[in-house]
Amino acid sequence: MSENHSPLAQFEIKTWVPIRLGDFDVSFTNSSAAMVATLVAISFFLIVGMRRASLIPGRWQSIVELTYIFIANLVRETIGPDGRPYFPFIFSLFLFVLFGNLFGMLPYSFTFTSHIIVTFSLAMVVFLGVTVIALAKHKLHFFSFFMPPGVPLYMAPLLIPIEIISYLSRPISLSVRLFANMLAGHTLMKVFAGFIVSLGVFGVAPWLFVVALTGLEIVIAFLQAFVFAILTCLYLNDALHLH
Amino acid sequence: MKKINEIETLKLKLEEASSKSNKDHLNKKTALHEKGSALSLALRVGVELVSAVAVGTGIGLGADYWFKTGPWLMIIFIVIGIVAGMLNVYRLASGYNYSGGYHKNKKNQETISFPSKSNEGFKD
Repeated sequence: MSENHSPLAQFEIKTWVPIRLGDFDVSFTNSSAAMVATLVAISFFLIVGMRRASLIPGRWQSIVELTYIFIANLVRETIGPDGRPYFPFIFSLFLFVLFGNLFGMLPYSFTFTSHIIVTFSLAMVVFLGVTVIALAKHKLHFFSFFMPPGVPLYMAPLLIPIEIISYLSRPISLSVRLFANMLAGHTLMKVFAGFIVSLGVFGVAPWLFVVALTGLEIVIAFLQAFVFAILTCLYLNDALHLH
Repeated sequence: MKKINEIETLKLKLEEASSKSNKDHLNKKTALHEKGSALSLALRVGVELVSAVAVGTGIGLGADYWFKTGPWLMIIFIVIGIVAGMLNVYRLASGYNYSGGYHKNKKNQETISFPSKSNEGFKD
């Protein structure tokens, strides 16, 4: 433990089971282990919670149902009835990000959402999926998305590149937001936790700060999962109902 | 006969109660929703501004590499990226969200055009 005092050591990828597929390194790492643990936890949470589904729900069943209703309402409010087929995807995405964030709050665990490649892959799935849905639904009319109605034609050479860049920046902003929040929060916590020991008696001050920060981090874990889900809904809404 | 009446009154009572609780639920829901989205809005703005500039720079660098045209395309695309970032933030803040078009304008037009349409129908 003594060699790992760097606040960034917690983000290190450690290979557990080395696997090579051709030229690709597909080893089972601590990140993969965290993802598997997240999936197991989600399945456990949902399946065991609903195992004895009764008309009058117990505490656990209530939590499961509230989560379901929360996302169902989100989809209904932002997309409307057209969004119903996409509910399972948004629900799984929300739970995956939420449980990943919360798993990162356990001591000695690993936060896979603090890696840009993980969040970027999730964002690219959303971005490509939304684009394909829009193309399939509106065919070539989709490209009118980049040319708002009522704009004079001589503005087009300026406006279309701006709209295209604005559209392409979606997956980046979606992934960077989640990644940066998790990375910054966890680094800050580790830095202040390091002060506790080195300050001796006065370590009480950073200790109190870390306690408060832990609460804040849990709020951020929920909020970022919510933002990820709501933005996916908004993008889907754009794709289904072009202006 | 009496039983049916009782059932009817019970039905009415039930409907009343359920609609009331629905309303309460909706009111609470929107309040919570607004609070949550205000905080999430604040978290979104900064990243929104930067990411568009990053995309613009990336496209510019790629195009320069492809066409071998010095720094010029990069400079142009950085400017376009900055504009796109500001557009993103403007849309976010003014409630257009991410729509490429202008949803709000369209809705306004619809509400304006609706009464005139109905008038036309009346004349006919």
